[in-house]
Amino acid sequence: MNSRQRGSPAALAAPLASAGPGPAEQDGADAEAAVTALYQAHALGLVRLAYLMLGDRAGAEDVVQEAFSGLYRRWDQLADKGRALQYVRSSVLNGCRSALRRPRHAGVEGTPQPAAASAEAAALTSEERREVMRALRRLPDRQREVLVLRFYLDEPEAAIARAMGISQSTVRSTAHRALIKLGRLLGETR
Amino acid sequence: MNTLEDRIRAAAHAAAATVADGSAPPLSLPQPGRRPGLRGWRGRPPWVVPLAAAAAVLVVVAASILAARAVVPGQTVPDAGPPLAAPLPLSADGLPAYFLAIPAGDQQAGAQPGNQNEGAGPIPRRLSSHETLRVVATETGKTVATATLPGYVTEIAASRGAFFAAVVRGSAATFFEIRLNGGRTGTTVTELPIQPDTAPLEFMAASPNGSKLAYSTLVMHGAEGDVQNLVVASTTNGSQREWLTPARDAQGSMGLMNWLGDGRTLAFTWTGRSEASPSSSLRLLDTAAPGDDLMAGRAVLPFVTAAGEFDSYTISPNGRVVVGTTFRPGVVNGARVPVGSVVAFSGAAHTPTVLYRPLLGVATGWMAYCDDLPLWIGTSGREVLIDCYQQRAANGAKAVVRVVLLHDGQVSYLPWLAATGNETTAFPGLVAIMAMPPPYQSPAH
Repeated sequence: MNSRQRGSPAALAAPLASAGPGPAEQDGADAEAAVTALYQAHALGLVRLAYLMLGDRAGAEDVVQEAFSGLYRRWDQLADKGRALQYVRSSVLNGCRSALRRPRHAGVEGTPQPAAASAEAAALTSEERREVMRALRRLPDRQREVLVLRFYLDEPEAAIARAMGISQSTVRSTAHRALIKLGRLLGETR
Repeated sequence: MNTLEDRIRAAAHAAAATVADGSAPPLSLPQPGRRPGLRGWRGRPPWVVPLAAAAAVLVVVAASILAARAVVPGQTVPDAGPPLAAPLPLSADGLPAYFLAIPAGDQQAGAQPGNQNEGAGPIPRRLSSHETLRVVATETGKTVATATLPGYVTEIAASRGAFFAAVVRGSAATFFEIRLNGGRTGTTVTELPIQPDTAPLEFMAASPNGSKLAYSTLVMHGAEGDVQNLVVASTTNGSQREWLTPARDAQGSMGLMNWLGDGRTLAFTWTGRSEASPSSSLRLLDTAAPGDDLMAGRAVLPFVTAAGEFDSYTISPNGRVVVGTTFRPGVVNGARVPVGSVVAFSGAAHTPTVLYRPLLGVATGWMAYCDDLPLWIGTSGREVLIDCYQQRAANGAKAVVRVVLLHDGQVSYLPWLAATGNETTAFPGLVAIMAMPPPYQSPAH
């Protein structure tokens, strides 16, 4: 995995002391402020989403950072700035897909996890969680992605289709097959 | 918590919660001067703009229906004209006269042998003691006969002369043959001498003359979890052969399958670790050759191609044409192939031809695409029957299903088959496509 360079939080571009910002500088400042605000509001959720896809915390952070960097680079080209969050979420999913196609460098299950940080996490036995997540990661990437979007983000079918760039019928058939396979992996034979 | 969905939801939320509040690292943006992003901030190529976020998504369809008109490869189809009326434009291949359908109201979610009272969706507490299937005339869409099976029907398939059903009763699946009587007004249902199978099964396909049934099973493999095996059983004497997934391929999975016209070669899709894995492809297996290695055959066509990316394929019975629907766009003859396009790969060189592109029209906000897999493909691959959808993207309303016949460069709409859009159907030569049970259809929003 590439070494990461952790930078300081992006500072807002300061106006020139004497003449004030020109149009280009003001645009840059606006983009930076908007992207930064979006990051502060949504980065945690997106890192969690990427983590579910990759099973790798550092990789998840990488993907999210690059997604926001891409948003910043393309800010001027966005036709609808109001859809920036959807854009960056799609970028995160794209990034996860690309990351999954590269050789894995860290075993998913072997990576030590931080202690549960919420009552919700503690409420579920660690073994149950590991079993389900282990099974989830045995699914083909696209099946896992559909299930994560459906049951973690509770996204409706149409939103999943848009986020993944696939048809709704494909979402349905993929979810169906994924659930059958997951059920079998978990030995659901009650 | 007693449903699979609950377990997934809880596990996912718990896993995500291990990413503690406030623990996301600070944002680090590219420095000025490195825009407009010829390279990423760490020297990687810029991400492709996600399809869903592209400002100019023009996947649009006219509100009217498709009509027979020439589809010129590399060009989009103009707005539709009036619907095609009977008789059907059949070539020498000929659409099958009848097909089998599981009516939508009778379906239950994902019950499998050994899973008697529960399925993959909201749990039905009791399996149906019987299910009634309908035999449909392709030319009219009307039910000509019905067949009642003594349990929950988990898979159906069709050969040239008969239909087949795998029926779950108790903890095992048993197999039945369904034949139309001479007057085409009733059916005879016969239990086959195939050993009941207690393993979960899926993707059943009947050989062209109905002498064999192929299906995949899921078998627990100890600490490695499950693997899929292939079973081919004789419908006449019940003898079976089994092919096993090698340990090195344990993370892969079989998909839909169909027999070639020779009655011995079985085609199936194989998905490796992901659709982009090198092993993900359409495969051919000679079921008459010795051995039990599921991967002993050969890969025909990978999922990732220049014409687009696919996650499943069907092959014509003569083995010369492979058909799939793109889930990621591609390029054929210099023209873009959008998502939801039907592409045929012909000959040894797998030359791509676009059989259908989603229509582009004046109105925006409409989506049009075809299903992953055809309902039926003709012997030579010149005819493909497939469900295609029109949907207004913005409100997420349920898509309108059109049954479309792609033939010799033309696109025909078969409105009399529209009612089958939500059913599981089995056309001869192709395994049934499972329709989605009601719990998985998201409400309009």
